[in-house]
Amino acid sequence: MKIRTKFTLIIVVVTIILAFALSIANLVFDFAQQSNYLKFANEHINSFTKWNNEQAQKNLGPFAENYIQLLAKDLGYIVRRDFLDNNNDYTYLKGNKKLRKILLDSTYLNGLQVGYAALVERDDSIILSSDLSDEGIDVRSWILRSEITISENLYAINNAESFNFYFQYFPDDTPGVPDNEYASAFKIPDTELVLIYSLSLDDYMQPINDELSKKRGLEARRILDKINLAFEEDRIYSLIFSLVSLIIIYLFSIPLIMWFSKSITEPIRKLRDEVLKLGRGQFNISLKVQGSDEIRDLLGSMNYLGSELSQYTENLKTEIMQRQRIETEIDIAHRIQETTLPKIGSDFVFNGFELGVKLLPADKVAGDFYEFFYCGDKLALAVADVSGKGISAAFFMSISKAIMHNSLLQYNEPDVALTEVNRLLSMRNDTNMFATVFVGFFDPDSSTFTFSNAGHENVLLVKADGSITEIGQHERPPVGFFSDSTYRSEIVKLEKNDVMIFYTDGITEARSPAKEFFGLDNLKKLIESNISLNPQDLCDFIVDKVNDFEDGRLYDDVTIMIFKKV
Amino acid sequence: MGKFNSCVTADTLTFFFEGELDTLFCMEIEEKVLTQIKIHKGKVVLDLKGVEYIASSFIRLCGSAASLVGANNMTVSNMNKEIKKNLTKIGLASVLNIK
Repeated sequence: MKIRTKFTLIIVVVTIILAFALSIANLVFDFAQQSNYLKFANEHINSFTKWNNEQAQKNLGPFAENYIQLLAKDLGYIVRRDFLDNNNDYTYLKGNKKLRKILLDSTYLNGLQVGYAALVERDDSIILSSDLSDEGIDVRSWILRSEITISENLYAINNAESFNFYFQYFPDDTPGVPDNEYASAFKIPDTELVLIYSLSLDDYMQPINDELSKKRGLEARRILDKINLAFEEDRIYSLIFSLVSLIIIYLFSIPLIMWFSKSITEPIRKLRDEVLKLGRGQFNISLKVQGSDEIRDLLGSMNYLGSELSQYTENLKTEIMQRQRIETEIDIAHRIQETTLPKIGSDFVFNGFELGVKLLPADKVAGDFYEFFYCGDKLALAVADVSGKGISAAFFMSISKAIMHNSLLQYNEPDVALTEVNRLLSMRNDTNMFATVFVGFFDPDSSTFTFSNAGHENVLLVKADGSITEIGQHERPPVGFFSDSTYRSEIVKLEKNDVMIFYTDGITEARSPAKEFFGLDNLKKLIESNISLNPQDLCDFIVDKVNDFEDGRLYDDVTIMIFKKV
Repeated sequence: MGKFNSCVTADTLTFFFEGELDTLFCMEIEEKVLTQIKIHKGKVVLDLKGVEYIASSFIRLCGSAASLVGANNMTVSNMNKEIKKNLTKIGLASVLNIK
């Protein structure tokens, strides 16, 4: 996905999320405001209702007091008349249904029971009551139950026809909430009876309050509806405002995004083109360093990379050319070295012997060498190993071989020749290069082999009966090592089918991948079991075995030369 | 691959070698060893305890060291039988002090 598309998508998504979050926040705020307004309206209505109750009590109180006083007196005289008509018989009064009904009817106003009436026998009990359950109750316990303190007043009524009092009655149906009662006690003349009449202003006001409450609910609902309507309109306006804002944001942000993303992608696009050039090997790039800090850094780094790659490539080309030249020179050296080594050609004369030879260098050029040539009637044979490997060893090998060849031709005696070779190689040999050499002359006339050893591997002499002995244990230093070294000669008589095996330590010290040495014993076993092969085949066979042993990774030059007396 | 370090006691500079002293290893250490010998100008001991194999390059190193301090001041010690056999074969046993 392109950066520009990504930016656009990100902006759109972020804006939508932002708009959604703002809408939610606005909604929550609206509901909170709405709730506050409603609470305020309710409180206002409640306070009005409370004020209304207070006003009703204040204005209706005196009226109620007069009303109940008159009613108590009126009822008292009704009772008195009946009492006197029935010979002052208190028993007549007790449970009198007619009087009770009169008392009960008096408690109703507009069909609602708002009052309480009781006929009390002073110092005794309630004779009649608008509430049947009160009849027969002892006045004192009735007073206690009603939590009113009128007992003293009931006794004090002797001095007055009647009196009014106000008290709070705590009915069982609403514990803790008092019922405001106005009461009047009327002493019925010529009797020991008192008629008490009380009126509950709260009960009287109940229908009005109910109506008010109902009205209040309706009013609250109406206010709420108005508030809702107001907020609904507000929300619509908010939504329209949000949509318009979004459209404006998009209109402004899209060109901004295009510009912003282009400011990022344009340098990257150029960078990509230049990187493609780098891929095609055109390292001389020059990017204009512009844009943000990061992009500038990147462009600067690319310019630097291009410059470095260009320089590196030039260096690499030079190095490759040098390496190729060296490789070419090594190839030439290899070919020269090969040409300096003698070959057993068709023109080579085998005078009473057979000869095989094989040299396998570890690198392109070898530090090993061999030599065979005729010095007069004698055949000179030599195998040598220069210390070290590679170019330096090969260079020293060439010098050694040339000196050796000349010395053997000149002196015809191996020990004298080696002494001369050592003298010449030791001169100005600051690097202490040296070569181990086994050299000898085969005389076909006498079938003898005269030899000298300069620190080289002993030659294996395989007799016709198959026994193997080592010859050349002279313990003399390699040539080039010490300038004053001297060497000695030794002669062996060769019989028919005697075989001499010259080799370098590249065979015996060949290493397997498991770091095991090929070893002299292994070489002897190979020779014993394959001695019937002609010398060249045996050379090839042994070198192949060594090569296999080292898994094709030669550790050192491998040289073997086999001479067979026939 | 071989290892080596050195120490000087009295007038003797001793090099301790371990492992396989092949051509590559000898090429790497040659300059360091010879530089120390040039600075020391005293007796030199090449201790071959723990050496499993020596290449001809190590023999060349011995020759270079011997040419700097003289064969009489050069000792090669603690070698195994195979290495001693090789040194004897090339005649160094009669020239250097072999222990």
